[in-house]
Amino acid sequence: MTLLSSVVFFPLAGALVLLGLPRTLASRAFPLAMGFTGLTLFIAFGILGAVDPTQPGFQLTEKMPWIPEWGVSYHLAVDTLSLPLILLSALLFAVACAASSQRKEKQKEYFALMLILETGVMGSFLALDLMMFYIFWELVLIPMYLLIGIFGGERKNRAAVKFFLYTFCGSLLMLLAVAAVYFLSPARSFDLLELLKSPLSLEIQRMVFLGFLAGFAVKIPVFPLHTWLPEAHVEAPAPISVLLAGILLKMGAYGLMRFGVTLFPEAALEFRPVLMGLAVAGILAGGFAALSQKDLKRMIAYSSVSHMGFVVLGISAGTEAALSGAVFQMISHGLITSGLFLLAGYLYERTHTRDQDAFGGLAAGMPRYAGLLIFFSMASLGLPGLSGFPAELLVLAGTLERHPGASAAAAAGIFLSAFYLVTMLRKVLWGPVPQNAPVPSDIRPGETLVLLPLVILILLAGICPSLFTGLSAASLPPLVIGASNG
Amino acid sequence: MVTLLLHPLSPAAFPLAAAALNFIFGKQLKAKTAWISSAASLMSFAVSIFLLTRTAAHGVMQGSIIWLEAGNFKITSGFLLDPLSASFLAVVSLVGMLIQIYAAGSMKDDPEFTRFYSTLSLFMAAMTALIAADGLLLFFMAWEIMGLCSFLLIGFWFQKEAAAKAAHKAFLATRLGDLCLLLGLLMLSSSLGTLQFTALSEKAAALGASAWLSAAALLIFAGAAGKSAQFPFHIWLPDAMEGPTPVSALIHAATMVAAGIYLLIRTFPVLALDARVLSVIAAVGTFTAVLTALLALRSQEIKKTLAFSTLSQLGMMAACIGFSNPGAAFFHLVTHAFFKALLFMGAGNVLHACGTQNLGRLGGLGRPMKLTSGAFLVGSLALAGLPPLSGFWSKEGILAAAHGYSPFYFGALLLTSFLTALYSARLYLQIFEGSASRSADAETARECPKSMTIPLLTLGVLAAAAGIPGSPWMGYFFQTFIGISPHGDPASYAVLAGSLIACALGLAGAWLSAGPWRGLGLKETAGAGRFLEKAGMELPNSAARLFASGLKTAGRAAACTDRLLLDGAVMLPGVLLQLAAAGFRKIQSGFILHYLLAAFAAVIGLLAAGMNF
Repeated sequence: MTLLSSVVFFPLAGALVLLGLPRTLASRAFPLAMGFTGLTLFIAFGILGAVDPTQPGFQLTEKMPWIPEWGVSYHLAVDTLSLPLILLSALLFAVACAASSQRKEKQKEYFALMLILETGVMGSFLALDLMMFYIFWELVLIPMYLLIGIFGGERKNRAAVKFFLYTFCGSLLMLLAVAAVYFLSPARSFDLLELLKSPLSLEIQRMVFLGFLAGFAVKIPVFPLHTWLPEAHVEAPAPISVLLAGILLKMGAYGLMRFGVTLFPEAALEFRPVLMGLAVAGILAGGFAALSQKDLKRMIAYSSVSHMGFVVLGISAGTEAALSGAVFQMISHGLITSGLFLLAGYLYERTHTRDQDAFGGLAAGMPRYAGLLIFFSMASLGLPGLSGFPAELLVLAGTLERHPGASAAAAAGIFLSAFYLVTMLRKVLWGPVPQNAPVPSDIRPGETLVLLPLVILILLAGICPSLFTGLSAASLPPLVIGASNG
Repeated sequence: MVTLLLHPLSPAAFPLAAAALNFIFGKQLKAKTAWISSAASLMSFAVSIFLLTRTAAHGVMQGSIIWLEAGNFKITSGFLLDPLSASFLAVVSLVGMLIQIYAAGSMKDDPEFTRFYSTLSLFMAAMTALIAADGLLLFFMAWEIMGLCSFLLIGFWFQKEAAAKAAHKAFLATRLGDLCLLLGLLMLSSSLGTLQFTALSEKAAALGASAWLSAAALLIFAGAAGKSAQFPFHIWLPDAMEGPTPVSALIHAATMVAAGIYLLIRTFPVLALDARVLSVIAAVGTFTAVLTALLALRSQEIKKTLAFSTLSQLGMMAACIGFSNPGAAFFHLVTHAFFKALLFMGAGNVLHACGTQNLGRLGGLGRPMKLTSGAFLVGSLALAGLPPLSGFWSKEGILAAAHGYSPFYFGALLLTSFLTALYSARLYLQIFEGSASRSADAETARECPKSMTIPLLTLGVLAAAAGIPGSPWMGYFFQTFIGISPHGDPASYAVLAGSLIACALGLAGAWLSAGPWRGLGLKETAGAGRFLEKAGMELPNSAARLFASGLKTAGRAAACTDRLLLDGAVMLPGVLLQLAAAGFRKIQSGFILHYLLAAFAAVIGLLAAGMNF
């Protein structure tokens, strides 16, 4: 067993252990799950240590034939594009697990599903065989469906079904595209590296790219395919929202870069105006929609739509700066939004409401909470010194030269985020305490501790962004759109 | 170690450390936080003085590191030590220190004392980093963090609705400007390939004017206008007076709002490429100066009057940059920092002693509060531009620049000078002269404790004497030392006579309206005054509200479209499926899932079949 296989399957082993746990020991599920996610994080650090970030191309390759007659192979490898996402995922799974420490009922199932999810996520980020990628991609879907559907809020069924319906239809189209690649490419293989050796004609690229795009666009989500997201987030428990927003959305963007742009560069160039237009539309529509949300989690969900728009903008602008910004934004958004969702969750646990208008003047009774909420909001609105700023700066800088209009519109989106976040801060934290308003207790040290790694990383990425851009830089040049062919 | 201590960025490091210390150990430190913050500023000041002598002896120093690099996009960040930044550092750390000592007295009883000082020190760190920045990147980062501190400090008493509202407004108004600045700096970076001030001016000069650079210059000015509250962004500053008085003195008078002017000075070579850009700056600055000077006359609160006065003085500085004389603008920025901080502290003392700052309820405080009234008098006269106080010399430089630019602007700024003398003298007379009988509070007023008066008197000395180095008596030493632009025609008697007459008329007018001519013309001008308030404040305020509610309406529309149209379009097939299914079996929530799983299995099966043949 080597590093990559273990980071993928170690969580699955954990899930099996948990499911096999006798009922009498069910209360031990949390420490066990914490151990498994923690060790997975440890393995992820091992990968970080083993990878040479200055090296372009894939490293730590593990490849063996799986179904040779169909050209399917077991092929895992990491490069500097997937490395940051592996680290982010491992971290956020540990954080989400730690944030679930208070869960009382159905612990076994909850944590087991979480660990299965982790296997799916890690596999998706590391698989280089299209069929394998697809299997992991679908594997993510089922535990997430169940986590929302079983452990969600009042309208959990509707939200879960909608999540499934949307992403499933997307992946169905992707599956057809995967099959089409196999049949239409002279390589007759599902292996990414084999497929890259024999480029496809533009007509085929066009068709197949759209199929992949359907799957990825739903997941990211690209406007207007985002409407599953607010509902899923509102119903999901806060730690599950962390996984959903922090990691699952990134799978879409990662797929678009790893498979979409890499395999079909000419189609990507052709569809660039569309993708860029949708990205900007998402930034603005998400920002505007967030403005009018009363529900705290819904607002954060729409802000995710807006912020993920920057990722798509960066990918579609396709300059090195913009791509670097897109990767940076994935990491940054993962850290920031996770913090915001957890904070919204803490408030909900105490008051059983997420209605912004129900609160007021919370800063007086909850100074620690207020400080953290201000911190994460400022990070989200792109305050320099925190991670959101270099990410959006890079995307804007990389877009500006050739597409000044898109860049300016995206900047308007940043203003919108300041508008809804500061308005939220003012409503929830400041002002006089309204009559009958809940007066919750401040957050406990344990809850602060869960957020601490996020705070540290957001600060680190904001102050020394080159640590993070350096991590991904080597893998970006092949993703530049239109560099070799005009 | 010593070299690190005397690094041009160490004036920022001390307050940053103080902020961290106060933030983490606030509970244990309690009142000591004030001394930690003040000591940090003292250290900054000491280092600044050293840096000042070093740059005087060794010239310009700069250094930078690569902050962010991706492909051909590269941004560096570092320090630029020249006479301009070194002297501004000294001024800011000195004023900052005095205000922090002052606040130890005036904020003594506030339960959130430690939060106050943590934020204040963070602000000082950002402001000093901004001054020492070598280019627009570090500048912008510090600029934004100052914006955050300003937000947190305006809303310091966050349970007051007015304070929460003012902080919200200030943050968003400046943020709008900031994003213009961000776009502007990215445009500069994309066409000139650098954001360092020195490299910018060289490359801009080499490249020459272009529409792209002019647009970037205008965006940079929009950023400066947001921070320095130039029309139409001027609406946020009067409301910002909801914050504690030391905050008004430090952030909203002496330092942060002046950062916009500093930005224009630093980027002047780019702005100057296009004369049209400069003329926009001159027009906006002059208009703001006249408008807000008039509004200052109408205000009935000390702090609001001073806020309008700040706006007016910032307008003059901006206009002066439009007249192509950034050196004179900077000189005025320095003297203004001293006398305006002094006036705000004086206002704070009055508020502390009487519990009100309403001009209608004050009077005769000169007797019980001798020190405060003396210092306030010096500040008012310096603001009014009475020779030989500091404001006279610096304002004279601006008027000279205006005189060289166009007679219209010269006239407008002379009018501003007259109005400035009028309202500042009137302010003093209303508070400290006359009878104390108008209010019970004023009768029992007593002088404030030493921690509040000593900083005030120190600033009094500075407000009186700070102009001397820039006066002809010392051969315009200050302007020559800063060296960005020559002093504009020093020998012009028209300028000298104009500024003296404007000042004298203003002072006389104030004296007459407080005494012999009390109430004269009030009725006749009341209508004009109301119109002015409507047009100058309420109209822009309504426009801002309209803008905000327009955004919110668009937000509701977006949310509605999202729910009904986009979501509906996707959910419709699902709903239809469910309806169709009702015919076959009982509706279950999991139906769609089963259906899809079956579809999935079918596709997989088909694929498998397809692969086999």
